[in-house]
This record gives sequence, C-alpha cells and structure tokens, in this order.
Amino acid sequence: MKWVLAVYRLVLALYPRPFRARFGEEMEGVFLAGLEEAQRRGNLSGFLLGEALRLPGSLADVYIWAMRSPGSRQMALPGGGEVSGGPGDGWGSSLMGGLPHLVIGLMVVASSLLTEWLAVDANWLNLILSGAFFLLALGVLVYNIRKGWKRWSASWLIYLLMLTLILLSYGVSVLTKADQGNWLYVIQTMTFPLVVAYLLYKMACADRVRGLLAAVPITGLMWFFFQEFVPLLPRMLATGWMFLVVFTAAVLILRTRRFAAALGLAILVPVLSGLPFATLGVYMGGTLPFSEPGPSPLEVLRQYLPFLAATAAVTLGPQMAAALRAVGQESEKAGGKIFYRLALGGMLLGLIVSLLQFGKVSSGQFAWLPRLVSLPWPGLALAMGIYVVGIGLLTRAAIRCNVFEDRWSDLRMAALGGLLPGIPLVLLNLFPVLNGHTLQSWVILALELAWVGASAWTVGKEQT
Amino acid sequence: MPGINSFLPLQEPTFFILLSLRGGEKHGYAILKEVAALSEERVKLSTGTLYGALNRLLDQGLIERWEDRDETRGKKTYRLTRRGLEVFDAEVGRMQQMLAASQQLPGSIDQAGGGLRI
Repeated sequence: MKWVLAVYRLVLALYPRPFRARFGEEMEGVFLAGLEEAQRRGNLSGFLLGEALRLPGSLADVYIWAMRSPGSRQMALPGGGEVSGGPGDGWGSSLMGGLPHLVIGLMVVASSLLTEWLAVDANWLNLILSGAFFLLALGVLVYNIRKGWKRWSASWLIYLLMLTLILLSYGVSVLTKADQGNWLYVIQTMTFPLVVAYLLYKMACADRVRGLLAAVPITGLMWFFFQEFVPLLPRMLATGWMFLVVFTAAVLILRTRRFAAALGLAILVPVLSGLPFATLGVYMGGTLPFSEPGPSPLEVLRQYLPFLAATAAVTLGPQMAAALRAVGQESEKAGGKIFYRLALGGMLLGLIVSLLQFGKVSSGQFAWLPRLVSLPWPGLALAMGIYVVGIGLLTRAAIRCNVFEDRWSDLRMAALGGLLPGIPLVLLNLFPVLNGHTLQSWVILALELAWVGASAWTVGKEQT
Repeated sequence: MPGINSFLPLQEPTFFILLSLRGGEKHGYAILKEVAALSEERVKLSTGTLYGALNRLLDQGLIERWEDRDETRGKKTYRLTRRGLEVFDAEVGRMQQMLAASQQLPGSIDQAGGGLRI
C-alpha cells in the first residue's frame, strides 16, 4: 500500500500550500485509515474510485474558498491609517506589482517601433508578444493560486482579464461573418467596461489597495484615445512615459503605509500620464473638434480635464461602491444588504445608459432599444431614482443599526451618497469629447474637478 | 461578523458534519464515518471534501480545532463553537418550519399515518 500512499501525497500537492500546511498531515492520516478499512472489507477499488471522483470538486471548492477567504485578503479596514495594519509591502513584492506595466510598456513601444522601422508583420508580432505575456500572466495566476493571493497579483490580473477579452473578441471577429460585425461591436461596447468595472469593484471590496492597483493601468491606457494620427516617435515617447508613471505609482502604492497616500498616487497617474497625450492629440492628432478655434493650451485643458475626471471616476468609483457595501453589511439586520444592492443597481443602470449613449452616437447602434433606456436623460433619471430610493433606505438602516459613530461618520455617509451619482454623469460628459463634438463649458469642467476632489477626500477619509 | 441567517440553508454535507460534532468533539476520520452513518450512507465524504468543508467551517468560526488530549496520538480534534451551535439550531428550526408547513397543505404526507392526507 506504500505506493498508494505515495500517489496520495502527490495528489495533496495539488492543493494550495496554506491548505496543505494546515491539513496535509491529517488528510494523509485519514486517507490511510480509510485505505486500511477498505482493504479489510475488500472494497479497495471502490474506496480509491470514490476518492478520485470527488477530487476535482474538492480542489475547486478549496481554491474558490482560498480566493474568497479573509486570510488571503490582507484587507485594509476602517479605523487604521495603515493599509495592512503594518508596514507597506517589501521592495520585492512592490516591484512584482510594477513589473507587468514595465513588460507591457516595453512590448507596446518595441512592437510599434519594430513594425515601423524594420517592416516586421505587425499582426504576427502582436500575436506572439501578447501570447507570451498571456502565458506569463497565467503563470503568475497559478503561482498565486498555489501560494495564496499576494497583493501585487492585482496588477497582473487586470492585464490578464483585458488580454482575455481582447483575444476572445479577436476570435469571435475571425469566426463571425462581416454582417455580424456590428453585433460584435454592440457586445464589446456593453460588456467590456461593465466586466472591468465589476472586477475593479470586487477587488476593492476584498482589499482597497488591490482595487487601486487594478485601476491604475486602466487610467493610463484610457489616454490612448488621443494618439490617433500622432506621429510614431512622439506617440511612443508619451506611451513609454505613461507606462513608466504607472510602474512607479504601482510600486509606491505597494510600498506606502497610508491608504490616503496610495489613493493620491493612483490619481496622480492620469494627471501625469494624460497631459502629454492630450497635448499631442490637440497639436498633432485629430482629436480637437472642427468647431473649436484651433490648438492652444486652453483647448488642451478642455480636452484634458473631462478625461481626467473620467479616469479618476475609474479609480474612485469602485472605492466608493465598496464603502457603500461596507455600510450595507454593517446594517444587515435592518435590511442594509438589500438596500446597498438597490443603490448600486441604480448606479449600474446609470453606467449602462452612459455606455448605450456612447454606442449610439459613435456607431448608430442600439436604435432598437426602448427610448426610456437609450435616451440619456430619461434613462439616467430612472437610474438616479432607483439609487436615491436605495441610498435613502440604506441610510435609515444604518441609523437604526448605529453604524455612524459620530458627526464625521454622518458627513462621510452624506458625501458618499451625494457623490456616487457623479460617476455616470462624468462618464456621460466625456462622450462628446470622444465623439468629436463641441467641448464642454468651463463651468462643467470646474464642477467635474470639484467632484474629483470631494470624492478623493471622502474615500481617503473613509479609510483613515 | 455575518448574521446567523447568512449561513442558511446549509449544504447537506455541512449539515451532517455539524450534526456529528453536535454529539461531541471528534477527529477527522470519526467525522467521516459518522457522517456516512447519520446519513444512512447517502452522504459519503472523501478525505478532500471533508477537509475542504472543515477548512471553510473553521474560517467561518463555526467549529474549532485543537490538539487531542492524548498527545501521543498527535491528532487534531474538532468541536462546535457557540456560533456553530446557533447556526445548526437555526437550520434545524428552519427545516422543522418547512416540514410543519408542508404537513398543513391538503394532499401532504401524514407523518403519523405515513399516508396521504386529502
């Protein structure tokens, strides 16, 4: 029976390391006891078959629980200024959090320059490079599953998700016929941002710092919109700078002990990386609408600021939603869990309305949708109505459960409730810029900046 | 800490594990055997499914584990926590309420007679 036990030890190696450390020895003992009894009863094959058949389910159960369990989260809880109740991550872990940005940045810049200067086939090069990164990220994923979820894994997971979505849509576009291309666009427009938003929200719920880490590359990549028609060299300089900023921010976010500092770094990423893109787009690209007077620093600002607010919404939105969820969970006894979901459901509808509006204006799709949902203002009014009902009920539940400890807690809850609807509004305001329409007034831009400042203050205060 | 109701309804293996520990502290293999016996061999846990469930129950604070009093054996023993007991009792109450509700309807199984009550 020694060989059976040896095989079982190999099987045990399939479980995550923390699980093996906790139960490995015991499991071996229980398996041996079961084996001996089965042998006595002459039911050895039945016993081994039962163990083998139940193995995949057991592995899935343990891995899913490991991903969700508090032990793997290192969550930053309200009441402590430090992000993990101790010093920030070490340099090694912090660099691992920055590494994917450096690798992707090098890949993007190198492939663009090689394609242009050495006439290398762009399709093949991109396929090889993205395939190589995909495998690398998969390796990181497996490592984290086996060793327990490290905080730096968030930087890799977000790229893995984006690459998966891109490869899936590439595969679908190859398989579908030309007349179905529009449907693919509809699906992409609606699903990509929502899937990414959901992932950012879930990461922020598990660990606020992970939520920031995952949002950071997206707030950098969004500026690629400005690079159309910009000559290669300045475009690659701006791209390289953007990835360098994202890399530095990710490392410092992991190193810092204070959540407010990590949040500040995350918001600094679009501030620093976006300005070169906006400038290049206005002066060298074709992003300035024809209705505007012509390239100037003021016109750069009018392009830059709505994008800045939208990228800040990507960072702040999931954090605010996670804060609302925390209030809902603390007031569970008075129905808080239902009410926070109702409020976030209103927010989700607001996001969907914003995306539909973008899809409609940019492609002429979505004409088949009911006007209430597809027109921006009726749809937003419905979304806000649901949100207001949800937030009202949640506040009442929180008061009943004494969630708010002092006047500052009340103020933060009021700020949170008032600022969350800014997310779909800020995104909706971005779409005239994306669609090349007239730019917005300075009053709206000032309001958007005020929203970013107030939201950052609320999120920062809520975590300290 | 999540409320008691957030654990309900319990999965069948979880229910039988808690039931076996309701009778007193046990080590892993004893739980495995008792779950099979209590469920009349309907729920058969493998070593992996047993420890996956114990891992979850420990994290949820429904059971606790410590070294066996007989140190020479070096076995770990499991027992219900107060919270685990509350969850188990709440599940039993929920099932009793369901059973009572089902018996009030016309055409339901008559517990006393074993026949249909029309």
